Amino acid sequence: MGLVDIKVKVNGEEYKLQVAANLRLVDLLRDKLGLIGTKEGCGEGECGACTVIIDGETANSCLVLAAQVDGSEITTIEALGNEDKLHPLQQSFIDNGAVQCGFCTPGMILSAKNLLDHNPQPSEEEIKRGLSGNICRCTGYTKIIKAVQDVAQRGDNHGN
Amino acid sequence: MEYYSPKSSTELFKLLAEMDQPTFLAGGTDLLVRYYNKLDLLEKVVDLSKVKEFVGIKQEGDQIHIGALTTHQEIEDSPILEKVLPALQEAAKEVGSPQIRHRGTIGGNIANASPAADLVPVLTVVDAKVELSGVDGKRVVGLDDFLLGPGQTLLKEQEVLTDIFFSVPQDDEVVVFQKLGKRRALSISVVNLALLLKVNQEDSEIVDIKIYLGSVGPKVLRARSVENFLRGEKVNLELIIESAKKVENDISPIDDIRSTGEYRYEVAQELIVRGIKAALNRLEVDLDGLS
Repeated sequence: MGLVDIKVKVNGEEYKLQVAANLRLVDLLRDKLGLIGTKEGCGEGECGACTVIIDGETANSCLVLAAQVDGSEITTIEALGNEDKLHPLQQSFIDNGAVQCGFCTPGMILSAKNLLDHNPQPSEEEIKRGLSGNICRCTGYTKIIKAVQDVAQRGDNHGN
Repeated sequence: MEYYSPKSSTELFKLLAEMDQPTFLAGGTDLLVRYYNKLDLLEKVVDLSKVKEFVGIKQEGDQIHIGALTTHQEIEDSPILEKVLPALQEAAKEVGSPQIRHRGTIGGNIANASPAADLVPVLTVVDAKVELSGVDGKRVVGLDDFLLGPGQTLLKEQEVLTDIFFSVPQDDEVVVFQKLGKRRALSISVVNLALLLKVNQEDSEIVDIKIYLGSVGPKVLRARSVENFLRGEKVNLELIIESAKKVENDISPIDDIRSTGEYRYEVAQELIVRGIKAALNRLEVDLDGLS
């Protein structure tokens, strides 16, 4: 079994790790680093539950090898806020009832954050397109889109 | 699995010279899907994504070069392509999802040789060529010739696709892309099409037309019967609809998980009509004003 040395920054913290060559990023985050906010749904890049931000762009962490993120910076849902101080998107999802079972929510919020980082005032169409790689099995899309619109209108896509 | 991550082309070809049966990884958006739950079957993975020489879009004279590791997102965002070949951006925008487009590359889209690859019809319609680099040097082949069938290309075992290039279309030529999928996002094409059209603005004669269709045969296919029917004719709606029927001579769609062969014949005809209409629209030829 091949092992690979990697250096990676996750949510601002530097890690030097030795990982199995066949370890996927989603498994590194969940099983090795305990960041279980990242969910695995389909494992094939269709559902978006495992979405994380790698070097400023969203990716399906089920379709990335841990070895590939050597030298990268990764943001998972855990970096966005905490129970005392939620990220504006998290608060807006709560306020709008955009969370039902919650399984898609971390990925959905990271896709929304990435969209607003690149395009702070998206149209409804642009929001739909920005979230098109994230499936909500409760089909709560209307409220999810509203939650993103609210944050965009207030212009406060930052938090901590 | 052994994992190799060369940082330059020199390092890459040195590595390949000593390696049998490497599996190449670029964006991973096809490879990791294909090997979901069976990554152990991959013995030697060569990750190309750190070889930055193979990334980027540039214009040299009338040639556009796209490095094989350029992502769909980079194609969508490219000011050069917006100017010279927006149809390629339209195709890139239809691939997968934001997450897929951020990582999936043009080289992967081509070298996987899926008959449904969205970028391929646009590239074949502008006569794109591909540069293949290996331990023994480089060679250039036409993209249409490069693709042999599903998953089959001219690539040898120790060779990688490094560059895609084509001439800037003439000012009076317009290229359009059309796709029909099951839904908007994350859907592989039922049929896709790219079309190049040149019309004499004065008498609305079709001076040149070229049509390539994807997902209707073992590889991208050229609709020569349709082209021959239209070339030299004065354009009108009836003629366009009639021409689209000729496509059955050019394609051989099959039944599969996404659709049936019969439906694909229908869709191919419809996309030809839509494609020509869209191209005429771009050329500002008013179809309703023609007899």
